[in-house]
Amino acid sequence: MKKKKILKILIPASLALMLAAGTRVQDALAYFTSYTGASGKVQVSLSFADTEPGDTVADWTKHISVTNTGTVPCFVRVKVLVSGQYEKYVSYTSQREGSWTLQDDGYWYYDAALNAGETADELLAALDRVSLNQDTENGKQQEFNVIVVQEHTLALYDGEGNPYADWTLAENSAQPAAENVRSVDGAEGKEDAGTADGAEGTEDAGTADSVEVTGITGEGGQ
Amino acid sequence: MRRMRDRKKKTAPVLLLCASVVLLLLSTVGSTRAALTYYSENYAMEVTVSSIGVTLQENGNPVSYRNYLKDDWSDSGSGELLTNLVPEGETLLPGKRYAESLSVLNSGAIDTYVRVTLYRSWQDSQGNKLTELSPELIEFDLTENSGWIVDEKASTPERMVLYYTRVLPSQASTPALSRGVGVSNDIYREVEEIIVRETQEGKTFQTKYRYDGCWMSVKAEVDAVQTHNAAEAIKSAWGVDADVAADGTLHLR
Repeated sequence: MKKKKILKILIPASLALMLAAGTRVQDALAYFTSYTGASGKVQVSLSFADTEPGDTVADWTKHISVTNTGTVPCFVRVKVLVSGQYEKYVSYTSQREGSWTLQDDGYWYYDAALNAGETADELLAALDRVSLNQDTENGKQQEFNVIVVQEHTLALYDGEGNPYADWTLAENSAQPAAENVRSVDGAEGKEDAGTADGAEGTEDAGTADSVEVTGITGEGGQ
Repeated sequence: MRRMRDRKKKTAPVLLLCASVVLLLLSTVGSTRAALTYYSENYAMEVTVSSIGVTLQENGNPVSYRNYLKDDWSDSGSGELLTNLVPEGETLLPGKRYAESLSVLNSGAIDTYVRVTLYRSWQDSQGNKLTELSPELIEFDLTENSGWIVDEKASTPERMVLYYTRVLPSQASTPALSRGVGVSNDIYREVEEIIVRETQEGKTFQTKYRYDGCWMSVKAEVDAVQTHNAAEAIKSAWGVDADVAADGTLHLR
């Protein structure tokens, strides 16, 4: 009986409380909110650079040049290797003054990015024949090589869209790029470095950023 | 006497019920009165003009909105970003920053607090998300001292949550939260090898940039909430604990 009495009191009271609580919940949900959104996307197209060295020898001068044969702008540098004893007889000038600059690492750096299809102004390596003749024995034929090592790296861009070179990028990408021109023996996984300059290697776009060594012989003598 | 006692027993619950109903009515009337007092000024405005609204702007142009007008929502749907990011005939240059000024316009009739969530990811040509590629290589140039702050706790490499800390008055725009967007030059460091030919003599590999042909994808979501009872409203709508200073400045806890 007592339980019934309690229930008779509790039920109406609970109903009243629930109704009151209900009105509060409704209040709490009545915040003004809004939202909107948008999205978009842009495709990224990345290509490897590719270059071709070019040189001619005329009047005891080596005309060193590089052409961008790829589809994207790149920067180039060359290293000219001359046998130690003959190094002093070679002097350098640029077809366009200031276009090539020798840095401490022994490379000559071209001052501008080469656009696709563009050829750099020539770096001229001239042999001082008179001095060489004086220092060498008369009538004795001598032969030596002038080797040009040519490298390129993709033109990167700063926030304003100005191109610049990051040669560490070329160095970093040189390893996988070099690997890509290998021919691996399927059975033993043996690498055949000999194919590096072969036809298969040239098919690989990845070689474009590899360190490209091009031996170009020059000839000097009496 | 017994009858009297029985009658009393029967009337007690009825009296209690009546009392509860009276109490309930009183409480409802009280709350209604309070609500009317509280919302009276704004309520008049809402009836005549509109309620809350928000518009996302890209480089000063509206790209999407959602406004409450005449008892109904006016909604642009999802807008489109980056449509004119790269000039026609050109391709996106990694490293270069392209103008991407994102701001928010309060297109409603009441003052609001707003926040923007920026998402960045890589997609393939079919629109599938490439989760193995790094969203951090998509870089936003965020503005400084513009009133926008990044909620570092809620941000991830793929998502940035930015709050505008000041009250955004009706029909006013926030300063831009970003100046530009672009792709880091570091994408050139990501290369992979694929076998292009396999013969008895060996395999020919091709080196490929991992991000070549991928799509840089960006999404911006804007949320707005009323400034009245701001802390509670923000907590309720956004699930964020915030304090509101006397001058209206928002501080995340």
